[in-house]
Amino acid sequence: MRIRKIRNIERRLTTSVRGFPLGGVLGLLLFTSQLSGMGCGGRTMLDSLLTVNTVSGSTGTSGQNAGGMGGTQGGGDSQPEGGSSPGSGSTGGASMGDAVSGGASGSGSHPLWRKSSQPFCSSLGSSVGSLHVWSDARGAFVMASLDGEAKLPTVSTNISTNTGSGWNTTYTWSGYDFDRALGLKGFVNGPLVAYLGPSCHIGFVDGGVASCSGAQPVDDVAVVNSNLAYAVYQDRVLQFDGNFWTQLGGPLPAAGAAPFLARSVWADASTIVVVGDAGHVYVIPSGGDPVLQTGLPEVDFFAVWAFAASDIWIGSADGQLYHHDGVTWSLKASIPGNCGSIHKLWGSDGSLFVLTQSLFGRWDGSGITTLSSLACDLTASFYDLWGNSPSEVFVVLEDRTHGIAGCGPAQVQWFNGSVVSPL
Amino acid sequence: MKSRSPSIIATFAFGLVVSACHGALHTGKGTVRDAGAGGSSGLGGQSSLTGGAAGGVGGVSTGGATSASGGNGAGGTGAAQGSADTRPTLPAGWVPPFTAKMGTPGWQQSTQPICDPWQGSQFAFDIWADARGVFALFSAVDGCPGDFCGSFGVSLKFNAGSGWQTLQEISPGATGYMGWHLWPSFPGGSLLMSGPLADQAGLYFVDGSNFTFQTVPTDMMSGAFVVGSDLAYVIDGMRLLKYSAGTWSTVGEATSSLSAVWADSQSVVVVGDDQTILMQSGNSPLTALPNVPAGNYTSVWAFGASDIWTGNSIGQLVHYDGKTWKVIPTGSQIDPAIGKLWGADGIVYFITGVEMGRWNGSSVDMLLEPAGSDHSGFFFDIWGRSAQEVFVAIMDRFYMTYTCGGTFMLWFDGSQFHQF
Repeated sequence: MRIRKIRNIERRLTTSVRGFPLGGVLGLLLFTSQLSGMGCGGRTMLDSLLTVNTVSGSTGTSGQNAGGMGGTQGGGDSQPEGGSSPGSGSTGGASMGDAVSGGASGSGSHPLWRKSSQPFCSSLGSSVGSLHVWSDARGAFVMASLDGEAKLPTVSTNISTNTGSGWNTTYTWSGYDFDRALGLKGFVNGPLVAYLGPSCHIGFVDGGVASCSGAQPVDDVAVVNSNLAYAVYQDRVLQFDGNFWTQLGGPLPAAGAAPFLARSVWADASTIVVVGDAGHVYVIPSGGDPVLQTGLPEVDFFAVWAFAASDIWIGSADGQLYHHDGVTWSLKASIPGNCGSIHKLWGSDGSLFVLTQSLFGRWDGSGITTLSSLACDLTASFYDLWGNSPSEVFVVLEDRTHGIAGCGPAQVQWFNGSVVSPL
Repeated sequence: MKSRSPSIIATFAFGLVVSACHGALHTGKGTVRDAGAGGSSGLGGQSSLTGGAAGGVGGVSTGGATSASGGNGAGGTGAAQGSADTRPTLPAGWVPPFTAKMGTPGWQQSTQPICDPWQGSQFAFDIWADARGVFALFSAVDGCPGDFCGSFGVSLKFNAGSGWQTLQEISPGATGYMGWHLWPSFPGGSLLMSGPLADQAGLYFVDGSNFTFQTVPTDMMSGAFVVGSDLAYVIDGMRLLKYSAGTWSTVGEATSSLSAVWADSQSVVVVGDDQTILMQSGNSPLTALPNVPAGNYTSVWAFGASDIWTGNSIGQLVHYDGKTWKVIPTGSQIDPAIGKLWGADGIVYFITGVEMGRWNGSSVDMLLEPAGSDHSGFFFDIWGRSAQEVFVAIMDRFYMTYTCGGTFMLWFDGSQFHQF
């Protein structure tokens, strides 16, 4: 026998600066050479990801829909940085609009995020199983589960980190024992919180070492501070006190016959908001009982963000954006179409950002302004949204049609308050 | 967790058939027969196993079984109801799929390894032991590994130290049938078994060939623990049932499915999904322990109300000292759920799907770890008589299409494992 020391499933850091494999380099060369005839001189490699920019549209409840969300428009460049090349007029793939100018825009130069000039590149898989992003002042963190090729029939989950000088793979789970990742959050300047498959449901990743913090499969996590976080699954809320995850109160009761299934959680030090299926929205004051919200339709709510207990935003599977002012709920916007389901919300300093399968947008006070969009089909999808400020917002997406050769379909974009750029 | 199996566990439909041997308990479609053709094989207080016979059980013998001490037969362990065992003979020299080096085969004077006569997929390979010896129950169900369909049923084996004998065999028939289980039982007394018999299914006290049906609803039985001759607990779905003074009562009900139970004369602890760890002490109600670390709990053992060990679905041991919790990762990651716990003298043994280890009082020892990446060895059950005599039921799927169905029994002497 051998003694296995008590440990927290430590795994060594698999740090390696991820460079382009040969195929990826050749692909890039080919791709950029093709672009060279389109007036792309002087652009970084990141520009090669850009296919077309679009007019941003605003979608509100008063019918003020304006502008296409898909990549259907080419045209002049109105980027603040002064790009001058025309758009390609693609009808699919990623498209990045300028929310500020509101005009048609073509592919032009894009600002670097800090000093990061190489785009996110994951060559391990052919399709995205899941893709998540989280950030703090240190940088951006992306957790990608990629389905392998036939010769690698496993799910590989990586955490990639970019502190401003490029993407590095900082942690890897490999093998069939891990299901694809379910989500990524983090403690500010502390461990990342990765919720995973059956071998460790809530994992902390810190300094290249992973430990298993929670044994319960969860659907979402909200971190408040180093000694307070919440997680939800089914009809339960878990609370992290710095040591353990324990159940907060009893099961959240279902309003109807169907059991309550939580989808997302937001929290600060005094309030927890849990949204779920069939119109279930609970506001839980710290130390108090959960309050089932009324005045909402019986639709599935997938996303929640709040700036305070009197300023709560929730997004539904039907593309409806609701707001709570502390007294009543009101419908603020509806995103039409088959891809309008709001599955992520994130906000900062009063700015609310919205993510659907095909749209990355911002609530502009009267509607949702399109910042970036994808074709509404099976070839592309936004996955996750997070940021550090209204001028530093990250989204991750899968785009099988416009990826960098050799890098797989997972991509990262960032919004600097004016323009969405590849990262 | 009783039903963990690497092979297919199918719901199937066939009942019990009348066996051409004595000891039939039920008329109609089903019979249970005891193995002892030449004498009593009672398990209860009325008779001693060591005086029981170990006669032939009919069917096709696949090898001689050493009789129990005092037994007068040396019957085969072959397949029941006379159906031919078409499986190839188990290759000599089983190579355990673990990194640990095995000790000399045999346990006490028992030298022939245990053998499951049934050809179906293993639904259960349960073990329990007391001062009399080691009991093992095979429950093979329709799963058809390869071409070996057609011979499913239940065998109850016993080894008093001189060899495996067959105590009972239950043959499936043409109507509804589910797998059987052997649960922790009454020391020196009745065995606690569950399964279907003819027109009824549920829990039985088994004494020799007498199956005494317990009139307590247990259609979702998932755990049991016996404290003494007049005190036992059974889990039925989300309910905890108590047997005392000859009657059954409901102790309490959880809000999530329960997985395992442990008890002594003062306390009973049950664990289950959704951070469910409940305890009853004395006459207090069944109550959730405070601040239970979140998780789905799959197993429990304790040395008292202030020394509780639980295992969860991600391979962690979670200990409660009566005030605080401590989470101890075992490091298991492949099929990591702690399926069973058993302990003595402050040592807690555990099995996951493919590993066995123990808490030695200060750290985790991994005792059996997979050799290579095939993970062909699956752990079904664990029980012991002391910290230096722990029995482990294993199935090696590489051998499942041979005679004996890939089932192997090991015992651990505190430092080495031995097959028997």
